[in-house]
Amino acid sequence: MQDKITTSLQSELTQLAARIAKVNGYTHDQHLELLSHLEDKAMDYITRETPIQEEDILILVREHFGKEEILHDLMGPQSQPGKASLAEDMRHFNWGGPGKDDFWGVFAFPWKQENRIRYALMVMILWEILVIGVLLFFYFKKLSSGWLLGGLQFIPILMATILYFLHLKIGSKLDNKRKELKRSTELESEVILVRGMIQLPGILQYDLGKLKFTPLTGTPFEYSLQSLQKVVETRNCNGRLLLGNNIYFKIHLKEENERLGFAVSQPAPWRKLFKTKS
Amino acid sequence: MTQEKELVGASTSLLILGVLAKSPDYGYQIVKRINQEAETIFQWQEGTVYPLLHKLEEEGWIRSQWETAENGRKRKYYYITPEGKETLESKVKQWKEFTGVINRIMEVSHAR
Repeated sequence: MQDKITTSLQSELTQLAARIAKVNGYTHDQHLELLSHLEDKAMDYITRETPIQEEDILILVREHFGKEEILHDLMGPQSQPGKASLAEDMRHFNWGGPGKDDFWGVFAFPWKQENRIRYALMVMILWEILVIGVLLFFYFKKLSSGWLLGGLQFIPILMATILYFLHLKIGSKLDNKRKELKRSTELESEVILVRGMIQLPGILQYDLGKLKFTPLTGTPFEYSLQSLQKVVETRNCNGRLLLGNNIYFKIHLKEENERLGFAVSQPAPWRKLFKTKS
Repeated sequence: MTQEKELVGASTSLLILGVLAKSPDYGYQIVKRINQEAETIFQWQEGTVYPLLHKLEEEGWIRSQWETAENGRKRKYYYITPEGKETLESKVKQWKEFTGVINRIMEVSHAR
């Protein structure tokens, strides 16, 4: 029979057996026998020799979908479609934002080439909508159509300017920003931050137990990882592949009742950090 | 048909000794073997077998030793002892006598 118990599962089983043995005052022999029993049980589930029963399904559903603190977010009045604020509605409508029923308070994705282009396109579209809106306003105010056509000629120039700024200027501004910030941080990464309707390039840092988001302009904000309840790595949110096929760290902070999600270009050191934290 | 708990409970030592008389095994496999034989008549909970095994070991009817199982992991195998075999024979005899009495009574009551 092939042993399919992974190292991480083995470690969980060992810890569980040690905990139970300690609580119940088992001898070393009983402890080892319990561990071997748990291993056999896990193996039977893995190989489907023991089919999952109704009680097992209930435990899984309760564990993964029935947690009160998560349900509170999902089912609470703030998540009801009719009562959501304009800002919340816009956030869910946003191309870079997560799905509404698995709401992430703060969201960040890596500041890398393909995401820069996506970001640039999004800013351009927003600017174009604004420019066209202004022009239409003047048009309906009985200004000649020459004004409208003249105004539209500026759009390609505007697009080129924005692309230039995003590719060159913002990159160097981010570099400067990082230099300004505290240098003793344990981990840092350049990201595009999404918070509410605001999407800005910025720096994500971990230092002294805190996760700090510093946008290029505006006030930095931070979260303590003291109440870190759970870290999950995911590519999907509600069955939808998230932006750029990145691996996102989805963090649930119990005290703040906040969920954050972020992806970075180099996830390995962050993964190591969360392994020690959770 | 599910059996009464008392009826299954009274036969636990007999079942474990019977299984081990056929071949030595470790706790998890012992429960599986008994449950496979019992099919839908009764099903043992996995947790119940270990206290029984430890009790039988204290009685001297079985002994245990750690060995490497088929899956390459260390498992605590239980073996029936000569005393255990004697006890099993005695218990089987008692069981047959007991069920014999019940069968005779049932035959009489059916015949009427």
